[in-house]
Amino acid sequence: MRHLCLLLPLLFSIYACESLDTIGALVPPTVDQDRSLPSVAVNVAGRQRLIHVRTFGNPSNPPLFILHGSFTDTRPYRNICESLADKYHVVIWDQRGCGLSERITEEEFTLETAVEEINAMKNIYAPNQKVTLIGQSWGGGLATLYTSKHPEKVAQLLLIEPMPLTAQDMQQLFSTIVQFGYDNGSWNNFARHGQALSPRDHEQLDYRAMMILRSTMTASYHCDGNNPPEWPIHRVGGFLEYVRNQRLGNPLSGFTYNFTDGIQNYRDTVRILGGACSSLGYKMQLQYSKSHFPSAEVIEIQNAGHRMNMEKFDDVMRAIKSFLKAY
Amino acid sequence: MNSRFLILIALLGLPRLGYGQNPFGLLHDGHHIVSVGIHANPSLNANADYLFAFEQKDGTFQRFGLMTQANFPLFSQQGIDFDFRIGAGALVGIASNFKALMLLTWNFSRTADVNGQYFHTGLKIDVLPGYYGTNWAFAPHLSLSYQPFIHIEHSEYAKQAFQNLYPSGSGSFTAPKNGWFYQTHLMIQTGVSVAYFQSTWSLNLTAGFQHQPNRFGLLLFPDLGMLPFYGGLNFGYSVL
Repeated sequence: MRHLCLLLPLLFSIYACESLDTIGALVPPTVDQDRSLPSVAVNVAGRQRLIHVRTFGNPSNPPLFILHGSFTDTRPYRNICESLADKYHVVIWDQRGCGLSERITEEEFTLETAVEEINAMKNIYAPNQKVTLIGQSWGGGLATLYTSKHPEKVAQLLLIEPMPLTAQDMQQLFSTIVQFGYDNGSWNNFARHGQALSPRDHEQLDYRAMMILRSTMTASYHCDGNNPPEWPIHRVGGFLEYVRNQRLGNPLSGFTYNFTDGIQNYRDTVRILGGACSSLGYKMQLQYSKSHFPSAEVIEIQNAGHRMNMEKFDDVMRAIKSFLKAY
Repeated sequence: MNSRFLILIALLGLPRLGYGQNPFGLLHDGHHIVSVGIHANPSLNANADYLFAFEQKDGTFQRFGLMTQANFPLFSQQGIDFDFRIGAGALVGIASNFKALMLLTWNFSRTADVNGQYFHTGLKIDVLPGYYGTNWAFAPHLSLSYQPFIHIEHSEYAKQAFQNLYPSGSGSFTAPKNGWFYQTHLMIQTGVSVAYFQSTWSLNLTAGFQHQPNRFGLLLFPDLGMLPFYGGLNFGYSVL
């Protein structure tokens, strides 16, 4: 009886607890988990997946796709979408595995399927038209890759601080972009997070990945690295980030990608925006990215880092609109 | 109640800083052993331990001990974290100099980061079967940590992820959930341990590989602080 009394509180505790795998316990649901979120179905890599998508502006306007960066989703770009909605039909979506889009398996993500995904979205929203592409960071690299593969499908290309566009560029720049180190408090916090929450499943990994947006590991992206600008997101796709890293390579065994193979077939001028503060900013873009394109111009956004549309929105929109033909 | 017992109770109440373990105090001649150390698993922690070791005996169960440990995370970003452990250890004789140190600890831990605050509790078992000579010990280190219960209080930052989720402005999911949860949180460590000891002090080094089982088979993801290594250095001294 005495033992039973000791066991009862324990059994009650277990009963009262909820599983950490409960949808919405840590991160928002994805579109397959909450069908009231806006989505479209696409067939990519032989699998049908639901994509979280938002559109802005009149569908009869010229189509414009915005491709988001890594460790993020579409949410921080909505200010750009709304600003361009008067002249364009802006389509922005959480790339497969990211944000509120359905999670995917490792086999479903390659650089080829990332291009296939843009084609799938184009088939839905702009089947018979060229599309204007704006991409930031990883999205800038992806926009460049898409344009390299399908120059005939791209009306205009604008890149906001694209990541290094080739493996060689990345190898040279990696140490200036990312800082690991025990004295870096945020990295230690990442490591210690695992003592409390195991990266057992997607939700736990996504929750952990969200921390990176407030970490100092990417301090060189910002004017004040210890206080990065706000960058609101719904969900960082932790597993997708892992898979993407696998596909791109790493500084030890080497990077293995080239987004610019074929870009010489795209003859129009590409505009690149670079912040004055960022390690991926104006100077880097001028020195590394510009030369990959037959014709490119680099615009500096003063007092801005990698999150320039949050920091200097008006300046960014001036730089975007002065390039886009509809304005 | 004698004074020794009071000292024991007081020392067991000390907070323990870190995630290390130092059952090697059971190899000392003394009864009251304190130790300090530094551990990476892979987050960096300092630890302070107290071990009360009972009388040595011949036979299979050669010595028992009660211990408490406090771990203190280094380079913490969000307030004061702690990891307090209590447990029991034993030195088991198997054959001549082939023995095994075993340790079972129960932890109460508080961890905080930009996503929230977590209070978690669970068990850890360490086994070190190997050679225990006059002054040296060499043993593989095997451990399993299980943290099934966690209380989460999300930060404003984590809550913001749920804002503006629905174009209509309303929906089923409005915030992450605070409260107690159960989880399958396992940490497996396999390594080697080397110790040099005298009658009143010991120094031990443990290092190896660790893995948290997950559905993806992830071992290494440095971007998110996941490295499959752990290591620690401990110095123990018998005060009485």
